[in-house]
Amino acid sequence: MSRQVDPRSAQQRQGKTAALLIWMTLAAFVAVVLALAIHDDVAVLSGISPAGTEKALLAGRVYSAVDASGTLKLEDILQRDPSFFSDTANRGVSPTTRAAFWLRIAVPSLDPGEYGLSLELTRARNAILFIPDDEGYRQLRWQRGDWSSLTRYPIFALDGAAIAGKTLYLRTVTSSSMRAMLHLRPLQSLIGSYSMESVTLGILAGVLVGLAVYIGVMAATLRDRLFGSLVGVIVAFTCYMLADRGILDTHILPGAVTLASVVSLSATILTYAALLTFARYWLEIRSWSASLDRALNIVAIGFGILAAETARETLMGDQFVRLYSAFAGVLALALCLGVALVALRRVRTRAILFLLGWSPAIATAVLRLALDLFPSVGDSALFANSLYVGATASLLCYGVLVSDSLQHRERRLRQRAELMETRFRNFADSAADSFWETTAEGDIRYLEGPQFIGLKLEVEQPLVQSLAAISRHSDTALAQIRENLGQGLPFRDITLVVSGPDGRSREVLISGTCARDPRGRLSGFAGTLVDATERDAHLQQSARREKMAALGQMAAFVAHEINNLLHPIMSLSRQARRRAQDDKETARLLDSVIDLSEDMRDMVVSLRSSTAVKPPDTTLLPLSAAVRRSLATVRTIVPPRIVLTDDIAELDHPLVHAGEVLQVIANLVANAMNAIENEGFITVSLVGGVAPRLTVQDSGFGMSQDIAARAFEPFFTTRSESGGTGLGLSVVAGLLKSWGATVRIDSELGKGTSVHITFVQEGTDP
Amino acid sequence: MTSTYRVLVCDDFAPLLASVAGCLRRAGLEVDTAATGLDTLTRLRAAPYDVLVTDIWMPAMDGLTLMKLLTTEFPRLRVFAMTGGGPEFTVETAVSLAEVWGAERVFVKPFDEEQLVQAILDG
Repeated sequence: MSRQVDPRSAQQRQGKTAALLIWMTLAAFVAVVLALAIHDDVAVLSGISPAGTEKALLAGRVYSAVDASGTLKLEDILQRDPSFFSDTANRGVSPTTRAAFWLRIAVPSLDPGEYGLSLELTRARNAILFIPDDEGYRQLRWQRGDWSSLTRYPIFALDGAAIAGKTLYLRTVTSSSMRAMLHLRPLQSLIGSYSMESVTLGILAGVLVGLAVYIGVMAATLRDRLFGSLVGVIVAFTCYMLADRGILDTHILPGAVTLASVVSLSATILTYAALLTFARYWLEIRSWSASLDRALNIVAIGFGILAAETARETLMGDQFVRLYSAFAGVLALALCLGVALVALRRVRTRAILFLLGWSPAIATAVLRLALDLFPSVGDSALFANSLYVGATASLLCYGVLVSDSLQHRERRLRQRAELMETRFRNFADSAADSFWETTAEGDIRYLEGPQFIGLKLEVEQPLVQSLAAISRHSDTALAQIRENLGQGLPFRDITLVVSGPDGRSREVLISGTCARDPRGRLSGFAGTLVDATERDAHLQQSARREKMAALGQMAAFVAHEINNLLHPIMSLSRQARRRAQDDKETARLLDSVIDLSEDMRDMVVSLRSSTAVKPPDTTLLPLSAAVRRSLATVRTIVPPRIVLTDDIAELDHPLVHAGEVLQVIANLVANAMNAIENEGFITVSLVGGVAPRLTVQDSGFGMSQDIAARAFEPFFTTRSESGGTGLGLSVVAGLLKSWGATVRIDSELGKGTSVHITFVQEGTDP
Repeated sequence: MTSTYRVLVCDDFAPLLASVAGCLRRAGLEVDTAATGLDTLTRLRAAPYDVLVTDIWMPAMDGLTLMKLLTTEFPRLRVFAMTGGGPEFTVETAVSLAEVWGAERVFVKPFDEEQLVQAILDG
């Protein structure tokens, strides 16, 4: 059974598995949300984190309670206290729009001075602090969006002496979760901390807006979706940060409380949607799993709908979806992480960069989570806002990465353009002797190689005038070129007679075509100059060579026929001559016939030798000398497109018939020439040693194993259509056998052939 | 004469065939003729021959192919080749080939038939 695995199908299968995993995660998420929704005591958010540091004046002194109806007054609370307040500061309940959040704060003994009490709940709508005095309770009020108390979260300035050792009550109503830090500290310290936080957030927002504009411009110019999705992440995240941290409705649009609520909640979810989309494009998911890409797209669209629904609920005072937005966040981040891990096996570098890019955000998110779960880890404002710093750092990383990828892309494009230009020039150079370009006005703009054909042309001179200056008797041709240039029409192979540097006239063919800019307007002309003088000479030479070859074949055929006829004529004449011993006159006549026949035989021999077939060279020569003499003869039939090189070692032995060596080398070189379609090389080498070896190597198209095995059979040919008889190599084989030499063919299709002939010296084993 | 050579002559050109066969007969040899290589092979298989005189370049089955078959099938057969060259290869090539493949001697047409007779009788 075949166990071959098609890598493509394996890849698709893995992609499907990943998509399945994502759908399963989604299903699990929905199940958890439903399970939580039907559970009464949904522990969503609430609490205070009195940190366990030395400075924390309120550590262990704050108790919380929730008035779900929002109707209880201080008197009701005092009546119910202490059983009303839980003994832990971290108890949760799902908030309603009416629900009020009560804190009982037991202030310790304090040093004299001014103190600030801050409830760092940026979504608080209002807060009332009840301070016991002689007449009962004094109230301090904080109202979101109120010009008289324009801070991002409730802050109360208090006299230390007035509150030391007393129990305060704080009632607050919030539009989102009830999770916050409560601090009591010297007022100056509070102001410093508050300012630092605001400035930090302001700087982050500035950086993010700048980044969004930069990448946004690139996305718009390039119409690139990756850039677009990154801008989406940055914009959504910035909106979320500004709204969630209370900057929007305090410092940017004071009093825009509802808008800030809507933006805060929707932007969170939109950030997740943009993040998923960014992951899709960054990890090039579509290229390795279309189904996973589709699944992520659907999830991202789902997040978009969720964001819209959250906005609606916030405006209408409903709450269902928005209670679970935190879970949506967890889901989105888990999906991104999972997809990046899967992508590690596909687009390794990009996946690693993806994970590295988000690592600052992930690290600070973990830090922030630790702060929520284990309040003792710290309570500084900077620490609480570290997530924003981390996320901004991540987004900056991506800004750098996409900007870098843009430069890469640009560099690649430039390289490709340069390569194309080089190719074009190479093509033009190889197709012609000279290559020129002109402007639309006909001035030479670019010129290459006119010196090769001895023409004096120069850049920035008008083409037609330059040609006119060097040509003779070419007025008609020049007129035609001028006319075509004037009308923007191409022209082909117009013959000009020009005077070369040596004073001899040459025929030059000029061709040109019009070049147009991207808008289709004529931008100039480009064309070639070809020296037809040499080309014609080449053509004539090869035609002559072909004619001679045909004549040689013809002569050989005629010789064969004549010899066949001549043989019985001479035999019969000799027979008749013997019978006519006594008849002197008949004998004389027959002698004439025999003499004339012998003349004819000689004539046939000379006819054959005049058509390149020479009598065999029976001279005995050392192998090196014989090979060298053969190469001198063979070289005359090798066309210029093929380079014939040799590397002949000096050998005294064996002694061979020069004619036989010529036959072998001529046959092998002829075969090599036939195997080279265009340009190529043939190398003939002879190496010495115990068994001298003669090698004829070519760069031709080679042959398959079975053809190589049959190459030496007589009448086996691969060129029967083109007149091959299949006798060449069998001749070689015959001669080799007579020399006691062995032959081996190394050949590979498309890579050329080497024929090795090994001579066995007498007295040695083969 | 108690024993004489049985000779088979093969050439596709009839006048030449007749001339050579006639000369051999006059020398007292027992001669049969064949016009093609295939014909030659059939005759050789049908009756025993001592000597084969064959042309090298013939249509259908040529003398060289014939000789190659013969060297394996009739190793004791003496072979003489005749050639007038041809359009495909030179006389020299044919001669060297015939020698390589076991022809006792190669005669280049036109040749003196007495020399052929002498060569056969010498063997």
